[in-house]
Amino acid sequence: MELHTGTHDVVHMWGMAFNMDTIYMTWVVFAIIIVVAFFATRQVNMVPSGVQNVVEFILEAIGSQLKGPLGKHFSKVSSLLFTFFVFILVSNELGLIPSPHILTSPTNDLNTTLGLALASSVSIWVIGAKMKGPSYFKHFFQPFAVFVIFHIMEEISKPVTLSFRLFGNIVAGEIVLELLNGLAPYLTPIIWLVFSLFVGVIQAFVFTILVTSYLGMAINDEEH
Amino acid sequence: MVEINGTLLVQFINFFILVAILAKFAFKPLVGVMEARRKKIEGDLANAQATLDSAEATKKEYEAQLANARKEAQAIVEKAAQLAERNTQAQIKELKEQLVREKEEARNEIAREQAKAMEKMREDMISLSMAIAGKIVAKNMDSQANVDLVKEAIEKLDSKALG
Repeated sequence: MELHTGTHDVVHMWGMAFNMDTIYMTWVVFAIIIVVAFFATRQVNMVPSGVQNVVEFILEAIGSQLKGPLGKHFSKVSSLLFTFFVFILVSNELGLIPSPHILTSPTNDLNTTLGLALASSVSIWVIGAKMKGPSYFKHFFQPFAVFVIFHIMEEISKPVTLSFRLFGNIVAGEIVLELLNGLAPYLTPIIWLVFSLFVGVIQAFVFTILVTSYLGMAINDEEH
Repeated sequence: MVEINGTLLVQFINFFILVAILAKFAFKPLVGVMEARRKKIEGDLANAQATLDSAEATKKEYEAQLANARKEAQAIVEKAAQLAERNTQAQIKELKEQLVREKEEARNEIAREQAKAMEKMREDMISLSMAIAGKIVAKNMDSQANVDLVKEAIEKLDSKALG
């Protein structure tokens, strides 16, 4: 039995390899998010209804969890954090839609999860430097200059752990789903599918809350 | 199966493109309206509280005014009762005095009438006595005739005096 999950359609351009299925699926995710966003914001009302109501409910639920570590700075970075959540959520669930090897999760590719994790790190550095100025980088040398080594290791470990956690959960879930579908079709995969849907939401939330926590540590004075 | 390649760079850029699109066209309007709604609800709640406080203050003021009005009405009623009592007492006193005066006048009138009657009686007795004496002298009567004459005169006097 040959597994399809985790294999990619690789195309070589400009001396680099690109997983085209991942890129296409990312664009599908973009399309889904943009369509939902379009319907949610087509006619923004003070009294929400329909798609606007659902999207506002999700933003409110996630926002209430993310406000804690960021406090007053939340509104400045809410778009970034909401994008992390909705992109990872839709990406995770996309691969669970039954299809003959057409729809896959962009997050079952380490390039996507590492790209997101690096985007979070870069965002944290930029936002930290923007909010606190050059003094933001002082904390890398505290309490002593030699600690810069540990801080650099920490800064590397953050995206690595973020990306591998998300990648591992999603790719493992899809592999198990594919195996179950081959070994015991219908009922067992459906049970696993329901569990994977839940895992997809949890992983999107975990990734976002961790980025929020790192961001909170970067921009709040009391943390450094 | 796991290979880091150019996809990483594409996904990195893709993510920031999505952030830019969603921030401008989705999250800002939605978060804006959510914030506006939150502020409106807070404002409405504050207004409702202010209105409630104002209503409570007005109610207290009205209650105080009502209590004052009741007190004033009570005072007016008490004053009117006192005035009526005083007037009644004065009227009674006046009536009593009037009665006393009228009684005194009646007594004086009676006394005057009595004195007048006595005077009239005296005058009648004198005139009768004069008539009797005249008859006695004119007729030269015997003693029995004199006695009868006097008796007759007295009877006449009595009937006249008593009317």
